[in-house]
Amino acid sequence: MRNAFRISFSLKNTYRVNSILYAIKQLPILKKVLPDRIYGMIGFKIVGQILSWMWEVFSSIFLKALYFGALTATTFALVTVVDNISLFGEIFMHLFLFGTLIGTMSNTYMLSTHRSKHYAVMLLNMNAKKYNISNYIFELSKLTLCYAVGFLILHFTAGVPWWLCILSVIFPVFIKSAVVGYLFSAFEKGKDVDNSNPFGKLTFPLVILCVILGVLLPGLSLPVPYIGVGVIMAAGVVLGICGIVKICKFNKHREISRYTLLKAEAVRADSKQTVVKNTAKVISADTSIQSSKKGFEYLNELFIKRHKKILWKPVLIITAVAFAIFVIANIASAFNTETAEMFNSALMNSLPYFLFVMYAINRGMSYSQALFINCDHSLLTYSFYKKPKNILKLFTLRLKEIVIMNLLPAFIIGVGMAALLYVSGGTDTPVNYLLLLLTPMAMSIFFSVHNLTIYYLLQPYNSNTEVKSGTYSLIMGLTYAVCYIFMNIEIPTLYFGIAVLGFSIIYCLIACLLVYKKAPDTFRIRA
Amino acid sequence: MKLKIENLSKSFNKKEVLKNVSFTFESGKIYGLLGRNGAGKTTLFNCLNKDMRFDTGSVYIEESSSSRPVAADDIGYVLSTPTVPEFLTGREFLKFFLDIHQKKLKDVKSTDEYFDFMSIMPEDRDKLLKDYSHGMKNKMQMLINIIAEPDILLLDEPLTSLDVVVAEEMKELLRNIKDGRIIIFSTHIMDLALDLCDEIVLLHNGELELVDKENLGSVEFKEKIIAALREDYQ
Repeated sequence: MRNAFRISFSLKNTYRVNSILYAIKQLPILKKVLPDRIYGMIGFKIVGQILSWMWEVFSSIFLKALYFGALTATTFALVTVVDNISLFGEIFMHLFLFGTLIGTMSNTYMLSTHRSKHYAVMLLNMNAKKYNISNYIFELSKLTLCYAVGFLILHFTAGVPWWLCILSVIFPVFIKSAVVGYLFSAFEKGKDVDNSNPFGKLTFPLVILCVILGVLLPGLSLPVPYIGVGVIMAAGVVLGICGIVKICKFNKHREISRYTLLKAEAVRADSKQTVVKNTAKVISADTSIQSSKKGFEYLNELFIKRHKKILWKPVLIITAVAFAIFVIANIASAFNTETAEMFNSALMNSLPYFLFVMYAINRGMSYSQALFINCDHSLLTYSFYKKPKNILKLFTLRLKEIVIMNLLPAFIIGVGMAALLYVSGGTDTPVNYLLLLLTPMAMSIFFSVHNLTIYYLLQPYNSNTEVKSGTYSLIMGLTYAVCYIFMNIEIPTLYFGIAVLGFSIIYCLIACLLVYKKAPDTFRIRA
Repeated sequence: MKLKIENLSKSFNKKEVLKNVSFTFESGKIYGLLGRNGAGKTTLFNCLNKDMRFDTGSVYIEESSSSRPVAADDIGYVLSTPTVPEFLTGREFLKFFLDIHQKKLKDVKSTDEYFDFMSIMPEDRDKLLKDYSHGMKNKMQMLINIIAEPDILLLDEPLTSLDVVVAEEMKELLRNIKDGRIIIFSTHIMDLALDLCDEIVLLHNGELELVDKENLGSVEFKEKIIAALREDYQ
């Protein structure tokens, strides 16, 4: 058993170290500097090993501490709601009880479907029983140790009785074992088993019930008292003993492991293909869709018409929602002075918030993804399609299309904001009306250009439609982060609006120039 | 017409996949390119098709003692997994392609004539390409590459996953169109290469080597090829 654990731990560790090194090797500059032999180089192995150990400690201790912290914070919030600090201990124990039940229904540890287990059991044909039991004991030991420290602190700080603290430390072990025992019995009876869904269709309603009871009862000053929690946990321990007996007798570890691992692998493969399948599915089968144009205009028009479902339909929905929101806001401002003042102040200082809004509603990313999966992925293998003049011609057509598509909601938002400023009390600086109208449109054009030029300059996909460019992911992540940060910044509309207009014009010019210069070389399927 | 490769090298990090490759392909012949997994067949095709930059060397076309660089129109590249724009019907794809090449193509036929030539049935011509079978997509991809009349046709294991009927149709087609052009056919299946190709070229140890077919029985010839390819790992 000890040897099986040593081998499985070593395998999991190697998997994690190599994953870390792989992630490091995907970073933009390091990718070119680091050699392919990185996985065999002792220095890098040590760095990976240190990071791997840090992750092990982080996931074992820090995440549990974070869980305890979250429980404490929720307890404080509920204590404030019911305005009774003396209920702190009981509310905490109440939350812990329901939290543990939810956790048990999400992961039993025994039937983990981690990739490293797949390699050990499926490919290396390890003894599944020894693998399962030794890893189960290891995971539960970590959990028990962390909870022991947590409840020791709780006993001395919140005055939770010692007997309940001891029960709480062992309760997760027994309740998980009870569920594992149930799963093993179910498997023997030929039923479907799942690590993260032990009770089939009942699991989700049970989780929701636990969430409701977990939060609602303490919110009504009705937490399960210590004795009640103790009785439930003791019942869990009794069930757990039955579970442990079943675990000891169970002899179909190989079969159940292969069953759950294959199922998980199928789900992984399916989710990997989901984007591709879904994007292919949205092609309209309506054969009446035609085009009277020629060449690339013909191709582009048919693409847009056959992809209305993911291109124009969301745009129209967003436009309608934006229109409705601004109509309501304008009416509310016209009839309520306080609301009008709030909107007026927001419009004069919180325009940066709309950077995130315009980012979120921009269709550029979905457009470029559909372009690649349903069009460029195939046509980029034909030499005529890769000719510089053809690449640039199609880029121009596509840019025009996506700019128009995104401008519609941007225009409605701009008009809506300018109208709202007027209705909510106006401004001493009339240029603000113009800025409120133009800034969302400038942002919209900026994001349209940004998404399409990044796609053309970095073309991140390989022939399996997987994103293979670290730089692309980094830029997309940075774009999100910048927009998110701006959400919380207040800048007068006059300054922010002018800055956005200026930046957008300069950015679009540079981006288009770069595409015209570089795209014939960069717009290729990644090897 | 000849396709000349001179001192072509391509490395991935420190692994040299193509080592100073020099070779001359002549028109009117089908070349069978044989090599073990990872030998660099697809890399060679990607370099010739300019999908990948090579490190050193040159590739050019020699015609009546003058030479010129290889242009995009000179090459047709058919992949083992057929890639066609799935949102178009077969007819629309063909129309789009003919529109783009209308100035270049001589003696343009009607779309139906092209479909007849490729044995694509009338009921399939107006279906979306996403609903085509693997073999039909492959035919469509081949048709587009043939209409363009490229001087050089690169075929990366195109018959591997086709059913016997379509595979035979494709072989016949390749034999019919080989005059005046160079066809380089990469495959793992030696019997297919021996059956279809006029010349056998081995890609091993990062180099191209023409195998002399003369004066050898087929068993001896196969053994000679396998012995040569084994050297890769010795």
